[in-house]
Amino acid sequence: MRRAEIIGNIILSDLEKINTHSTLANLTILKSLDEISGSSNENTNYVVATTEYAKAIASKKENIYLPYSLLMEKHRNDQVFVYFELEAFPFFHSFSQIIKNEPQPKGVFRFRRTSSKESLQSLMAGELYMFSSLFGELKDIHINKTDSSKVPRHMIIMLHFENGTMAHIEYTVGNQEKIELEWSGIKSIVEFDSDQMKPITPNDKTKSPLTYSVDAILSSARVLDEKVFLQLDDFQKLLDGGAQK
Amino acid sequence: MKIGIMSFAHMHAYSYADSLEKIPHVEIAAIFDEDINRGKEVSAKYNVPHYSNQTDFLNHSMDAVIICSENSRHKEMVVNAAKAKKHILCEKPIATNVEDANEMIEVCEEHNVTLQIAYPVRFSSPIQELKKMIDQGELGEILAFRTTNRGQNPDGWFIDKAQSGGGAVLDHTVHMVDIMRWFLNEEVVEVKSYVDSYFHNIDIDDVGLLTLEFANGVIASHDASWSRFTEYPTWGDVTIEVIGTKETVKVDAFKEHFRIFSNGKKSLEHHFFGNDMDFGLILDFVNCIREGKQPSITGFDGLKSLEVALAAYESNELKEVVILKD
Repeated sequence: MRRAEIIGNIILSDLEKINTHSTLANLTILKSLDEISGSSNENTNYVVATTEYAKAIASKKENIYLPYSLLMEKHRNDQVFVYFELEAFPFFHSFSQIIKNEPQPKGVFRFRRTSSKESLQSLMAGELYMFSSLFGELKDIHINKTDSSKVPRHMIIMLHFENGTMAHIEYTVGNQEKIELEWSGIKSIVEFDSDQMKPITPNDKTKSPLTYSVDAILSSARVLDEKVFLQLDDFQKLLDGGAQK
Repeated sequence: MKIGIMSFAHMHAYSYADSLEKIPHVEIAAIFDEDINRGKEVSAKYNVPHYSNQTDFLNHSMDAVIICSENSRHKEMVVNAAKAKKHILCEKPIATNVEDANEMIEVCEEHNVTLQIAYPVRFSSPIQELKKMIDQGELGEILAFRTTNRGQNPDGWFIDKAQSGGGAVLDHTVHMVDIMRWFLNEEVVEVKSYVDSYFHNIDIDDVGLLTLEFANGVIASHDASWSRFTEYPTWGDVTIEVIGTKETVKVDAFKEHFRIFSNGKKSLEHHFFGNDMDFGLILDFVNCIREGKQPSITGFDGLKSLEVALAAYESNELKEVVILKD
C-alpha cells in the first residue's frame, strides 16, 4: 500500500532526549507515523522515534530530519536533512562558542561518551567530523580498542589536529548515556560532566542535560554534500582501521 | 630511628620532614643542602644540623636518608648514601635515564640497603580503597584505565631539562603509570604520545597525552600537564577510572574538599581535607626499615614507570608507537 505523503517536517529522534519545554517550534510527538491519517499540517514538526525511519522515507523524500548515525548509504542522495546529535546538545553548542572565541584555540581536548547504542561507529564518525570542524584537520590519529569479546567495549582515539590541539576521545558501550568533556587551554579550562550537571536529583529522574530542543535540530541540520560525505567516510575508515593519516 | 634529608630542592621535602616529625621514635637527624641559604633556613625550622658537604653529612649518625634533590642528582646521592649504608627513600622519578636507574638499583642491592621510590599516590585513601576493590574482584577483569595528573608549572629547576630530565610528561606520568602497574601487576608494552609546550612559553614540555597498552591487552589513556594556572581552584588533580567487566569505578584522590568562595584574586578555592598521602608514604618507609621488610615501592617500580615516561618522549619524537619489553 502506498503511504499518503505527509505535509510538514518529520523529525526522527530519540524521543527521550527531546526537551519540549525549550522548543518554540510547533511540535507533535508521535508514537508512530501511522497516527497521521491524511490530515497532516504543513506547519507542524512531527517528531517520531528513529525506529520509524523506513516509514518516514517511504512517506516523503523532503523535509525529513534525521541523525547522521541513522542515515543509510542508499538514502544519501535523498536530500534529507541530517543533524549531528552532539551539535544539538546545548552544552556542546556553548562549548563550541567558547572555543571559537578563544584567541589561541590550542590546548588539550578530552571527550568521553558512554552510550547504550551497540553500534557506535557512525556516531563516532559524526563526532570526529564535529571536532574536526572545531579544531581543524586531523594531523594524526591513533586508536586502541579493548578485546571485542569482552564487555563493556571501550575505545581510545588519540588525535592531533592541524592547529596543534591534541585530544583523547573515548567511547564506552554502557547501559547509560553519559558525556564528559574537558578543555585545557591557555589560561582557560572548561569542564563538563553530564552526571554532575543534572538539575534534578535523584539523577535518574531526568535526562537533562543530555536533551535538546527541536529548534536546535532544525537550525543545525543540513543536507550534506559529497565533500562532507567523503570526509565522514574517511573518518569511518579510520575508525575501522582501514586508512592511515 | 634517625633519618636525614638530602636536599630541599624538591618541595616535597618539606612535607616529608613534617611527616617525620609526627612519627613517634623517629627524628630528623640532619640536613644536607648545597644551597646554603635554604639549608640554614630548614635547619632552623626543624632544629637540626645542616651540612653543605655530602661526605660530612653521610658520616653523621643516621639509619636512612630521604633524597629530594633535582632529578639529575638522584643517582649521585643514592650511590653515595648506599655506599654509606643508609637506607634510601628517593623522590620520583628515580632518575633521568634508564642507565642511571639500573645503576642505582644495583648499587643498593650490592650494599644491602633499601631503595624505595616516593610514589605517595599509593597512600591516598580512595586509591587504596580502589586497590582493595580490584583485589577482591569487585570490578571483574580490568579492560581499560583513564588517568589524569595535571598541575601547576613548578618552575625553577623543573623547567631546566639538564636538571629535571623532562617537563610535565616526566613529572606527571610516572605516578599514574605506577598506580596502573600496581593495580594490574602487568607492564606497559606500547606507548603512543603527543608532547608539546603550550601553556607557559618555556623550553620544556608542559603537556602530553599518552595512550598505553599493557602486556595483557589492557588499554589506557593518560593526560599529563602543567596546565593549571594559579587562579584555578586547586593545584591540580590525580584521577583514575578503572573500566572492569563487572563495574567501572572512578577515583579522584583530591575530591574531598570544601569549596571556598571569596572576593580575592581566586574567587573559588578547593580546600582539601582528605588523608595526607605524604605522611602515609613516610610512615610506610619507616615501617619497612624498622621491620626489615622489602620496600613497598621498589627501585624496579621506579625504573618501569620511568621507562614509560621516556618512551612517551621517544614516541612524540619519532611520531610512532614505541614498543617496550615486558
